[in-house]
Amino acid sequence: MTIPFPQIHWAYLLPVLLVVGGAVFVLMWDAFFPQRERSFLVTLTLAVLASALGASLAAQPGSEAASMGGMYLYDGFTRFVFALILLSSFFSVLLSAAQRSLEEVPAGDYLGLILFATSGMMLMAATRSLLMVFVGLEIFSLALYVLAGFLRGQPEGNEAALKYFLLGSFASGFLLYGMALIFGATGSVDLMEIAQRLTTSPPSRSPAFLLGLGFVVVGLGFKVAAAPFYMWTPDVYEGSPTAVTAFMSVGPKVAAFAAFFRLLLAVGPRAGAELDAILWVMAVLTMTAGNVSAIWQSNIKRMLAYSSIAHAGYILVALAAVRRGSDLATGSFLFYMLVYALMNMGAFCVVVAAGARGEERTRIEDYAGLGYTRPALAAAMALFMVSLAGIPPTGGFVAKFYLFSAAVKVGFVWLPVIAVLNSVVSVSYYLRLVVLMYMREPGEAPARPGLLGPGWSYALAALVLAAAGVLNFGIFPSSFFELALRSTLLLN
Amino acid sequence: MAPLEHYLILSAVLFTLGVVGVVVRRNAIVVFLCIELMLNGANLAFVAYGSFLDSLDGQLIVFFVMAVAAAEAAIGLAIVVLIYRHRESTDVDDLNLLKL
Repeated sequence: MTIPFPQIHWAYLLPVLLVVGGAVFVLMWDAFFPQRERSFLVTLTLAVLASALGASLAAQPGSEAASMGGMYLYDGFTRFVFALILLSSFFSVLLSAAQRSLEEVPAGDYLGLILFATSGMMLMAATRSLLMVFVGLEIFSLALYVLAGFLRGQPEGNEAALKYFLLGSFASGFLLYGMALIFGATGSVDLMEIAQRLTTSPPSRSPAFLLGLGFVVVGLGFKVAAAPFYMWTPDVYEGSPTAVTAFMSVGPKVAAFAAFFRLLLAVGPRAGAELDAILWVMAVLTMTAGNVSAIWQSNIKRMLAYSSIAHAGYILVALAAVRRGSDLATGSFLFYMLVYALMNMGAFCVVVAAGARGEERTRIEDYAGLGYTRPALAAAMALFMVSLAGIPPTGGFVAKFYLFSAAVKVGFVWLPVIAVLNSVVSVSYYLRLVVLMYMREPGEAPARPGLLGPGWSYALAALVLAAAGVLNFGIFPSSFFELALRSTLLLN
Repeated sequence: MAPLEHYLILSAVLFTLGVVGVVVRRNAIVVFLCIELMLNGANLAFVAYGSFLDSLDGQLIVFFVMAVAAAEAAIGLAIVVLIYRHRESTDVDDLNLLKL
């Protein structure tokens, strides 16, 4: 038996290699030179992420997109998703450097874990092998379990870590068993071969295949926090350090959705109406549950958690459209994730920046009168809330518009209607915060206004970047949307 | 050699036992044990299918899963120890600081 040695395309691998190499370097540097300043490691991590972003933008996906026998796949979709993941990691590092409660943690361990998680997300998004999907998912999940409980002295963080760990591993078990069943029914874990088997000798009706597909949907649904598997989200988001929460709310979702898209591209056209119905119900349940629960929250991190669940519901609308073979849906998903990453990171950045040493502003009540005490911060928060609600002229509106119109084009009627109604509901809790910030007097004197930690420059950079992006995509969306549309999704 | 169904039934039993255990048991370590059982149920299915389909992939995947399970055990048990230091308990029902 001869085993063909796959050709390695270093230019395509470079972004992942840079991130992994950077992670090892940061970890080791801190072990050998622990007394060095923290800002050095933060700058180094940011440089690693920026260079990986540059490398992935520079690597034009060509005809030989697949390398490593399908284990690693670099197409236009991968390239855009890499940019999204690296961007969200970049923001999380900025937020982590700005957060006061993270000042005391060992920077090398923390930043190394962020980089390792980033590499896992990239690998999960850039493969057509179910095995690599699993391995990539575990790489970033394990890093995130640790990051969730990184403030070891905080009982809430510990609890969040244990809940995330137990439920996350439970979902991984489902994912893995589903993959085993799909492997048994089709004889392969390579999505392209699975797609071929499904067309030539359709086992798509076999119970093992359908059960396996269902289990995989459960596993991925857990990672993107889709209903009914979102129960962990509010607890974990509330208990984790805010910068980690911001990281969890964007990066893993991008990666899991990317894997979901590839899976649907392979099995979608053949797996038929059941999948259509499942995605429809999941999308409606997810956005409704997220939006309705968000109304009652008194903790801003929980509110943003439910808001992120609702946004996952909107993206499931795009997934349902991809199942019906819509090219527009892929592009609008990428554009939506880009805008979502910016506005969500921006909102979490305001939460980080509004906190003082030792006391975070996590209750929504704490934001009363922020418009008077810290006008710039409140203005930024108002912008992100308006964008999350999907009101023009912000990026959130344009992204939702593209997303829902993609669903309309493939013949969905009620799904976009329910999604728009949901957006209307969401306005109530997003704007409640804005009203609170501007129309209420500040409560008891907030922790000395203008008190900024040493990380204020990082917070400022993140805020300016996010705000500029949200406004830019709201007013001049076309160039980036064109780019997203051209980022085609391939299997071979 | 026993027919494929036998292996698959055993793997399904292992997986189901794991799922039931996660839902029923309250001790974090036992819950984790049951998750490992689920992974091993999947492993058995991979090996059985791989052997019967004459595909090396099935055997190969199991090694990845075992490595992942080991890493998971290291992290999971560390988190459980951390919780135990704070609460003197590993009962998942005691995790009630964050409201549901």
